Amino acid sequence: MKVKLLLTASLFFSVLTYAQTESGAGNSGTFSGSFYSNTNGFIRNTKIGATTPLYTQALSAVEGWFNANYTSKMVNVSMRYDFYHNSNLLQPNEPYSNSGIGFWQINKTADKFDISVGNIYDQFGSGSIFRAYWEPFIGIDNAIQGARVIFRPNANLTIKAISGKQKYRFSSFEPILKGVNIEQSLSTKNNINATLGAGLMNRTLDKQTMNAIADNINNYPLADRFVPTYNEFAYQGYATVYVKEISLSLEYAGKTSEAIQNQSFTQLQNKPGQFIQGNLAWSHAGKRGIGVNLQYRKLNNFEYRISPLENGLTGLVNYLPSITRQNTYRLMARYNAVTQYNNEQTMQADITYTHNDKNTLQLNGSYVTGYNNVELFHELYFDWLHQFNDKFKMLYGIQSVMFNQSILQGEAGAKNVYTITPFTEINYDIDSKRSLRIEAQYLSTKQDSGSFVNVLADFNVAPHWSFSAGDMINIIPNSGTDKINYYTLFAAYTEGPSRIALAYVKQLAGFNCNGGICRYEPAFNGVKLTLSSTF
Amino acid sequence: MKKYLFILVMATLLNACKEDGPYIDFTPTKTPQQGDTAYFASAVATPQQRNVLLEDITGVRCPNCPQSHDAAKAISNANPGRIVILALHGFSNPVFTDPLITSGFGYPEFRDSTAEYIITQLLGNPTALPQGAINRKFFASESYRYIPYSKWSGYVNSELVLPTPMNLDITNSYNSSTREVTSVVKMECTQDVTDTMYLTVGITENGILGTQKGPTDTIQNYQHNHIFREGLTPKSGLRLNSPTITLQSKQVIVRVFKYNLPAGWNVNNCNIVAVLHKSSSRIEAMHCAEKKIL
Repeated sequence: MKVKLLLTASLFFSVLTYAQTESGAGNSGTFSGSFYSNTNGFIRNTKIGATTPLYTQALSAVEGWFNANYTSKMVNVSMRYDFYHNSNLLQPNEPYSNSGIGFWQINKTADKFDISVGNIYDQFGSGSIFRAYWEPFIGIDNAIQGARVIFRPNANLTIKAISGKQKYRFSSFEPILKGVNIEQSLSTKNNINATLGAGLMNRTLDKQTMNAIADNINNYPLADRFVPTYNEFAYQGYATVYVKEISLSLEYAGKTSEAIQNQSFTQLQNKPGQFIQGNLAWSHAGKRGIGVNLQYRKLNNFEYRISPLENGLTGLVNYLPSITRQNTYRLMARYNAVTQYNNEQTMQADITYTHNDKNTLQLNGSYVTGYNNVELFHELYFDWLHQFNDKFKMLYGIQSVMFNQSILQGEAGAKNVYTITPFTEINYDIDSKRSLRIEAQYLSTKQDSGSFVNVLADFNVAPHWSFSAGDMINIIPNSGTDKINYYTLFAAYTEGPSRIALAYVKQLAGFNCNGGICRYEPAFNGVKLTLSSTF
Repeated sequence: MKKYLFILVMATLLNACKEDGPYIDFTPTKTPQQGDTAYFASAVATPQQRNVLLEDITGVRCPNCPQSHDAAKAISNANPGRIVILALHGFSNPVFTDPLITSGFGYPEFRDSTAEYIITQLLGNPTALPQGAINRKFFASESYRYIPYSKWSGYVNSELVLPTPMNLDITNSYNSSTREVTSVVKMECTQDVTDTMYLTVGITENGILGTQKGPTDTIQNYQHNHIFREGLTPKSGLRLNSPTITLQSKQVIVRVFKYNLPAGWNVNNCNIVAVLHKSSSRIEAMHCAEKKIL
């Protein structure tokens, strides 16, 4: 491992050395980068369940990354150094410690070819059969360690091929991924535009993983045994057509039979998978604007991982975020329609209506079912944004959610949760430098942990200071639990591209979602010191 | 012409897409026998010394294999009762393992599907013989799990000093009228075992006369020993505990196996062998035992 790091670092700095001489010849490159670090102090709190080894043994943690990029006409080089010291980012219940080069890439564009080696983040189409990306705050870094070639024979056609292993922390999984994607843009004189695409992925399991799979299968009842395949293929076809104010997207993807976990995650089964998604959107701009978006998605055995023995957010090859509304307010994001890869059907409608400069209404509804058409989730959402004047605006709304906790959260025997949440947000610009934002929600439910109130106030003094204070309280707790205040205090100082922030956070166990991908995390209680900078 | 060429290319490509999957055992699983049981002993048993499994990947057409047989015998003689030898004859290397047919002499079938599984799925399927594995371990200084016989002795000595977390005992009985052998395998934990453990049980036979290629010539009436005749458990082993369940100290597991010896097998030369091993990526044997049927 150390040899690998030294080689990578040598390569990186060799290129930089060369780049300096290149600069002297008049082809100056650009060096840029960023730094982010977060220091946690864990404060044990038995009442909310903040009692994992992070609170009893590690007590504090530091994590972060330094990203450096060099871009020139000759070559582009990127490198990221990651460090996790007692970190809870990758595994929320246990301290994790390691550090090293988390990402490196050398990229060269030559005429119609774009060639990259090293770690690669990319996706085919919407990501239904392949997406390699980095989302550190929920522990995702599934870069491909290998090579990618992009060929653009003309401005409208892109052919992309990729091959490698999937990164896992500071090493990689052994199975091999290979894929090709072709995308063509079309346009007519009648103002009709379209994008057509197709992709094919192949995953080949390694011997060791296959032996583990075969071991499992050989211990199943005879009727449930099957011969798993080393090679699995996933394919997709997609099209988006734009006709004036209307756009229509359709996508179909499939997977050949492979060993995947069954519905209850107790046994492997040999199943092919399907994915269908459609999206119809209409937007009309004008004095009274309106936008309508209708979505439908069906998943059937479409869990696609680097190995069927992986679970959670580990080893995911594709990207299937929930297509229900992504809420940002704390209580409204408490219950989420976590994607059910094996069996899910989702419908969503979203309407935005702008009556005039001062009033905008939004209406959203979604409905999710799972295996045997069991209802998993539904949401009804309405908000009204009213601008009183240039300095003052208010948002009012209400949300209603049904959440199948036993399936979506894996809490066996839990009752379905029904919530009604009125909410508001007030924005007031005191003067050109100072502004105030207050948000409040009241989540009413008789299930789970009971009803909550959350109030948060942000006060900003441009360009340097930001302050925030909030409290969430289970105002009507279910029997047997105490009322608990979940305070949040936050202060940040910004100087140019750098920012330092200190916060005290007390947080209930729940989903942490980024881009529609969610992870259930334990409660948190402690202080956070965050430093970020770009150059 | 183009049409036929297209069909030919497509047929070739489709054929190229075929793959050989892993071994999945579709034979009926061991049905519970009277006597299968599990219980806790009143006290922790005295740990046994760990025996070493020596799997000799061999073949009757392999000219250098008699030397590996001699090496295995020498190791066994130097460590009486501590070495369990399995002579594995597989199918996937026919140039070394196909029955050797020579006029006037026996050419018994030594190849066995469990032996084939162990060679190809667990040990790495060497292309040249003889090779062998010690406790199925992938030693750090080796390129493969299988290693040449010249190195066996050193690795055996390093394994003999290691402890075993489970004791292993075999008790056999035999019904001469039905030729049914009943083997009771008793496993007793002397400490907690967090690994998923497997048990492989089989029958070996010594003293079979047959032809064998030697370094210079074919050897007539060569005495073949430790021939792996039949597996009595699933080829990848009988799982003793699920991955989430720890086998606890003092826990005793008893499994009973019954098998009717085919005609032609000399019961006086047959043994029951039992191997306690892990699986998946860490397949090493933790202990083994051998017991004559009579």
